[in-house]
Amino acid sequence: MTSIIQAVELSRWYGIVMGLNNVSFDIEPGLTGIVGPNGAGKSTLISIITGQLQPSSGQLMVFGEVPWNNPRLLRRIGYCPEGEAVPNDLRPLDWLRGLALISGVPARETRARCEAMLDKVRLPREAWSKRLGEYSKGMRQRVKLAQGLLHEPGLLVLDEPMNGLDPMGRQEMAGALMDLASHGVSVLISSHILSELESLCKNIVVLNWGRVLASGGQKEIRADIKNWSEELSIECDQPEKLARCLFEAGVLAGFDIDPEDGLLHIRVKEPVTFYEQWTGLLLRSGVTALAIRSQSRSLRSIFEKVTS
Amino acid sequence: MTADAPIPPPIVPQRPAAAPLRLEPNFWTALRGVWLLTWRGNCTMRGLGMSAVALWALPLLAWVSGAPRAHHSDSWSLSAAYYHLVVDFYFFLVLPLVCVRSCGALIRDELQADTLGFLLTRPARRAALVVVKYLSQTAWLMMLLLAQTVLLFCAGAARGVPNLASVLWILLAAQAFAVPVWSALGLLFGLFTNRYIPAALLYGVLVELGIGRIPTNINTLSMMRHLKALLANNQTLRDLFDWTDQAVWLPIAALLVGTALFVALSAALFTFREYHHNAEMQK
Repeated sequence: MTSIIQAVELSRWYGIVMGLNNVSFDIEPGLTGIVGPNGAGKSTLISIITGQLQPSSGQLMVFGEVPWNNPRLLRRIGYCPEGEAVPNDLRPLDWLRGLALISGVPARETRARCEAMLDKVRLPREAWSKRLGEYSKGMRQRVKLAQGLLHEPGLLVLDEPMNGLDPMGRQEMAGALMDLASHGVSVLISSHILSELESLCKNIVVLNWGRVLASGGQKEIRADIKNWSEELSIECDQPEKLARCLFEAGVLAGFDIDPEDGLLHIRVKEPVTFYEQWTGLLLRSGVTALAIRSQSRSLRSIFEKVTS
Repeated sequence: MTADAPIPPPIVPQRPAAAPLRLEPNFWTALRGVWLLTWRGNCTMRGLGMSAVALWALPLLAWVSGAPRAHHSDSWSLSAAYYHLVVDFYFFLVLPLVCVRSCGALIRDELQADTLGFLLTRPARRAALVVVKYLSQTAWLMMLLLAQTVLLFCAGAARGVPNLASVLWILLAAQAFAVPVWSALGLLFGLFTNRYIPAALLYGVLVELGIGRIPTNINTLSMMRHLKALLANNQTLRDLFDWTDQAVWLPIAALLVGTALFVALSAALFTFREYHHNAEMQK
């Protein structure tokens, strides 16, 4: 599949502060998440993709073009920035109409277009007469999303779009983004709310300290780390006995028994070897296992591993 | 119809496929959009209230300072006090500072508030964006300052200052050149540095008060000098300020060239320099 974004040895510095450090990756069409803690370089990367910043070195191409100072390319990119900053004194329809005119939406179509976008992001019509400064965080996010969609972009870039939304709002936002993706719009989302990206995005780019630690499909990333030490929580009737048995078999890198709930937390050396021996070891120990939970297969644990 | 006749397919209304949106970004639509944002943003209760207070402050000062006193024994000294307030204080101090403050903040305030990204990611040339922002803000300022000047002259009329009509016209004409040039200068300073007010004051001391008074051709760099030349076409002001009558075309040309130069430099700066909240916060 052709990449829509290609970064080659991309770096960005703010004076002596590093924003991005020699990163290379490809992003394919569809829903893609950028994951990383604060200061990881997510916003810097998004700013370069949307043509607000230039790379210090290396190259980034979006739809095969350099974004900086490229209005022709910006016709194909919609942007929804992080934070709550909006022009507080304006009403949503006025703001959107102004931005639509700047984007080149024909004047006779702006009003209908802006109303359609506000409906699309489900901003209640009774709220349209209020100024943006009077809006809740969630309503501002909706208006920000609407302005990003005004000119029918092929790529929508959202910086922390779930911030400030309640669970219902997050679900609606996720639904709206999936709907866009189903209509052929590629969506790039940065977030630290991993659970949403996990269910939403096919592909993930993991950033930390300005470097890409992992990128690709979630399955690929998981496959890459299948031999990382695995963490399991085991609920059983004799945790000490099971721990001793597993330790003597030499499959554990470490273990811990939670005195409160009696859960046995283990770290295994080689997951593949461990799972081959697990049933036999459990039978030999004579312990009754009630539940086993992997702590290492969620996106959160992947993220924690690669950023640790 | 027989029993074994084929059942016709249901009639499904064919919805026409939505035509792709055709974008026609150009300078004029961008100007229209930015103007809409400018006047809508300013026409708020808070914004209009602050403007109203600011608009009445100076006329009130003119009215109070024009109260009959011992040293205002004749109409000449009354008009001198009034016109010094209007020309020296309002036209050559308040007006430039208002323009520099307003247009210097044009990009800086959006940068600080982190709303500039909404504008920069529009499919429009950066140079066009900064020019339309400048034009919109200057148009708004011209309307406000027109109201300010009219109110000032109303205060003068209330105090019985002579020759108001002739001075009003020349002042409004000069203001039509002064607001664009000071605004363009403010825009340029605002794009250069976030300390644009001190920078503008330094410029005022060095160029307007320093170089402008050097009796060689270098003093054409002073915009204030050209504005004085325009105002000197009025007999009342000429007599009062001891100015000499000068041709108007050279000062007008100089002011227009100065405005165009400042705007062009601003457009170039905005095109090639990064203006980003993150980069700004790292400074």
